[in-house]
Amino acid sequence: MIDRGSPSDEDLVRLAQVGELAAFDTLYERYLPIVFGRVRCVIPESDVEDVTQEVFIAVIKSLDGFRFEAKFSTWLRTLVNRQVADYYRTRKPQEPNLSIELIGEESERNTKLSTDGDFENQDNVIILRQALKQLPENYREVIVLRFVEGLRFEEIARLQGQSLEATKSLFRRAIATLSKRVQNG
Amino acid sequence: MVEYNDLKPQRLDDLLAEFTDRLMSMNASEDLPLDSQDQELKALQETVILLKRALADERPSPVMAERIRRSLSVEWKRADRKYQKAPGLVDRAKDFLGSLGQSVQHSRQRSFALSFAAVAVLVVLVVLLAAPELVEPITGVAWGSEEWVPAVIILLALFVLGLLWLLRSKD
Repeated sequence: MIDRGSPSDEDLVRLAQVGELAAFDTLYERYLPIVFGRVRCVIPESDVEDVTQEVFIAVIKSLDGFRFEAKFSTWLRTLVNRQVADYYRTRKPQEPNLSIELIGEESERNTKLSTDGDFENQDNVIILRQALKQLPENYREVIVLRFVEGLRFEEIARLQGQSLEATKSLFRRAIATLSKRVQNG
Repeated sequence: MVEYNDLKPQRLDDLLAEFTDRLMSMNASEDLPLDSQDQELKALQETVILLKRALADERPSPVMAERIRRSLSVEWKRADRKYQKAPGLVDRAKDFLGSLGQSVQHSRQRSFALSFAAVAVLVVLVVLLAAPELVEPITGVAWGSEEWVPAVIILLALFVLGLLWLLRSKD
């Protein structure tokens, strides 16, 4: 999903570390969809923008601490997870069940984005989003890595220190659990 | 098309992963037809298609992206001091020599001013003590020579103190 053309993430980080706003801006453009998508999978719709912004503010504040020992994307993923954890630690958790307010909010957003008018699918997507938020973390993570970050199963396996077979199995179980919850939705 | 039922779990894992890879390699608006008679695999494939619609290539609206960018610009400026370019060796040497030069120049100015003040005081004192006739009371002036000397010394002292204060205030 990320355009891997030059400059690399690490080159951009080096430039940003010495004060190049344009380099940071490129990193922002490159990673905004991923951060937004990842945050949206775990945070109530009304707070997605705030948390997404907080993630990038954390990047600005911590950029000089990035030592190139890991890939930037891995480091960023850690920052996202930390911001999400901070969110749930400092704020009152939302009602886990799908509320009318949230359905309305997401319906409105999805209707604006949609052009095919497939309302049945729209509803399924909304239900699926809510079900995704309630999945066990390891299930949700494998789905986010595949669909939001666009990583291939081999990359996910490497990232999680698992065999390819174990990763595919985890993915299938995650999809099966999600599928059941959507059907019961 | 997969036509047999009751797939073994590992076979199911591979088929679903393969289906997902094919689907994800297609454009966002494209869907793959469900390619299985196996009900379990079919249900999983439907969920994968839904997931692609819901998550893949998702972006915030341009308005939201711009709003976040503006906030980040403010935050960047606030944190910018931390990210000032570290000076190279040559730059640091230049800075050091520059500040050294300024310091030397400043201390020369101060020494010159102090020397000038000291010499001025000495000259006046010598003149007053060695040639008191030069400071004989001028006709019409009420003061005598013995009254002139302390007044001049006080004025000179004030002049020197003022000079020192001015130099100190420039630091």
